Amino acid sequence: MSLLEVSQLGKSFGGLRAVNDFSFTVEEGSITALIGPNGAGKTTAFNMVTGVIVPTDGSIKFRGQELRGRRVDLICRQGVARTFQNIRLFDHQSVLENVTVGLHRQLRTGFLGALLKGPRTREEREARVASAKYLDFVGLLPRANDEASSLAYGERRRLEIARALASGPSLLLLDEPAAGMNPQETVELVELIRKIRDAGVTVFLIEHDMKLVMEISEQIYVLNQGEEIARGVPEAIRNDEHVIKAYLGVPE
Amino acid sequence: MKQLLRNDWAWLGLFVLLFMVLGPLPPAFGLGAIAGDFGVQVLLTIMIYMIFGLGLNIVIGYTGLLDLGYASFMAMGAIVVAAGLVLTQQPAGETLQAPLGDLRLTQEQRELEANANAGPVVVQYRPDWGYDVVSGAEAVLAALEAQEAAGPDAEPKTLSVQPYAGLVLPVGQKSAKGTHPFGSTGGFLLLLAIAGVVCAAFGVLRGIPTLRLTGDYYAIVTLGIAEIVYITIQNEGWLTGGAYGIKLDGETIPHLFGADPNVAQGGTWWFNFYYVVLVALVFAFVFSKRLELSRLGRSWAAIKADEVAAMASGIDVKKAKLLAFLASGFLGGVGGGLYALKLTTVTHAQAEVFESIIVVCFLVFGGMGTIRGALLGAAMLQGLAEFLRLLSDPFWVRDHVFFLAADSELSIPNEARMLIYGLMLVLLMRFRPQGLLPPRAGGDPPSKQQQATWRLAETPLFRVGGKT
Repeated sequence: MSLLEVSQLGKSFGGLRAVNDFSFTVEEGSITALIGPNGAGKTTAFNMVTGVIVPTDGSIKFRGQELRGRRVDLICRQGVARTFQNIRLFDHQSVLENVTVGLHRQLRTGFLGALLKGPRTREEREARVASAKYLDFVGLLPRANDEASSLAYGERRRLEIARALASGPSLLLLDEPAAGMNPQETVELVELIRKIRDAGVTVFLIEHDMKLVMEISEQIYVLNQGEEIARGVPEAIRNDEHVIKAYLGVPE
Repeated sequence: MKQLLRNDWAWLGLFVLLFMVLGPLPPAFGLGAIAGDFGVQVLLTIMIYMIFGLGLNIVIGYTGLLDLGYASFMAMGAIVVAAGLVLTQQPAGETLQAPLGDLRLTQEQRELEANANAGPVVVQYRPDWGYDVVSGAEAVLAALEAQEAAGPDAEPKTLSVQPYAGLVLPVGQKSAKGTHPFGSTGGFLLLLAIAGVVCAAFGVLRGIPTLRLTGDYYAIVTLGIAEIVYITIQNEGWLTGGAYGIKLDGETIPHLFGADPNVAQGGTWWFNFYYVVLVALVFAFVFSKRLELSRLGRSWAAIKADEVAAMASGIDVKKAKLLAFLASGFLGGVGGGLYALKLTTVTHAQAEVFESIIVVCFLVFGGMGTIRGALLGAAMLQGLAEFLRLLSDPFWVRDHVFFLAADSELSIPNEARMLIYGLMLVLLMRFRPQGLLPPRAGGDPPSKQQQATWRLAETPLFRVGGKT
């Protein structure tokens, strides 16, 4: 059984069919990529998997369990974490606090617990340490106490990844993680993604940087105008004529 | 210094110190007649509005939802306490003597068959109406007949009546030696807690239909619901006294730590009440602070910053919002309950939109999202309001502004308060839009040593792909 099995996924926005009959699987322990030109429906597919958008048709099975129609936070609790294309950080909180929010599902203290025990609990101490360790994992520990909005672009991407990892996912969805990064940052990102996969987290990503995609992906799906036009290993995708046509257009 | 300015505890300490220094002295020092002391009343108002500020800060400051209906909570808390004090107070072992002429019979009761409605006279009091006879109409009719037979010159009679479900006493009705379940310190604190719980429940109820709303839409809906509450309070006279409101007097105001509000102008009582309010303020502070620093507080901050990202981080946004409404409502109810004792007359005016807006102004002024901002905002704006109240009295102005002629009638009308608030807010928005004491994240980077400690520490909460 694959970790994520999506079959016949479809979404209509009024008359627009954003994603149509898209089936794919993500194998446990793999790095899988979803590519396609702008407006192909990649982010819509991501949003459906994570519950931000409810699909019109199809099913999404994660470890055999249906995710379709579930609330976003419950999907996160199942072990699916994500980052966003337009980075969504909690800008006016410190870098460390951003990660601590990500730990939410691993912590227990509720309303009464907070009132009765106060902030100096073992759980809060551990949460701080764990947040720091996630920051260290993505290489942001020295910036732990800075305001999140003060981070540079590449750092913001990495912080978002750290926050997603803090929820303890087994599947991590990255929406254009390399967008806007310089070549050096991209190299570091590739290393980080590999490190995450090697630790045992399955990675599913949308990306436009073909060099990155070809370098790290084991399986690639290509969407164009909501339809799947190709799937396969990087070598096959690179030479697929539909893909080339979709990206470069057809000479008149 | 900068660190100290950003420390909520330091601000609390400063204010508590000020309240203690400026507040009333123990009556043992000979300053008995505190009740009339304008300054003490001002300080009490400021402290109570600080509690309101802290309560509203949970929804606006922490969770980022602009709530324009907080006065509902303030008023409901006051009504629960005032009505609770007035309506539960009953004569012990003796029945109430109601003037015969005040007993209202329905047409059916007037036409009733003998024995159809016998038994003791049980009545329900309606402030705008009189005593509705619930049962025992036969006795009332007999008494009326006897009165008529005695002729118009006979002395008006009274009739022994019993309260209906305990909710009977007319507002301000005195009873010689009544039981007063909430008349002690413990009883009052219990009633205060009930007020908090009622308002917390109302907060959740009001929250359920508004959960999906954000931004302007949420603000408008809260404004609308506040108007419904305002009109309801105005009309449900059986509980709220309608347009007259509920008046508390020496009989109904609870004794605090043995102090009777009636004795010698109630100096000791006011002293005790002052410190009850101060302790309540510290309680509200700790309540807010503990929530702010908790997992729930982080959820609120996350929702404020980005609701979708909060959800994707595993936060149950609806639950977190409802808990914010609950916590905020609770503090509003407690503050309102204290305000009832301070005001002694609780009317629907407490629920006016204006009251909500003032508390929002505190937060905008102090800096959205910080406890210290709420405290400072309340102190500055409410202090200013009380000062303007003085300036609205031409006699006071004449006496205190030295260059005015002895017959000067110069004063600033009370209605000008909003004008001055408005001007201050415009200036604030121009020069410091984030408020005086806005939230600040972060601090100095962690030391090398701290980083090393973190790296070496082990915790089950850190695991990537099942590996720690």
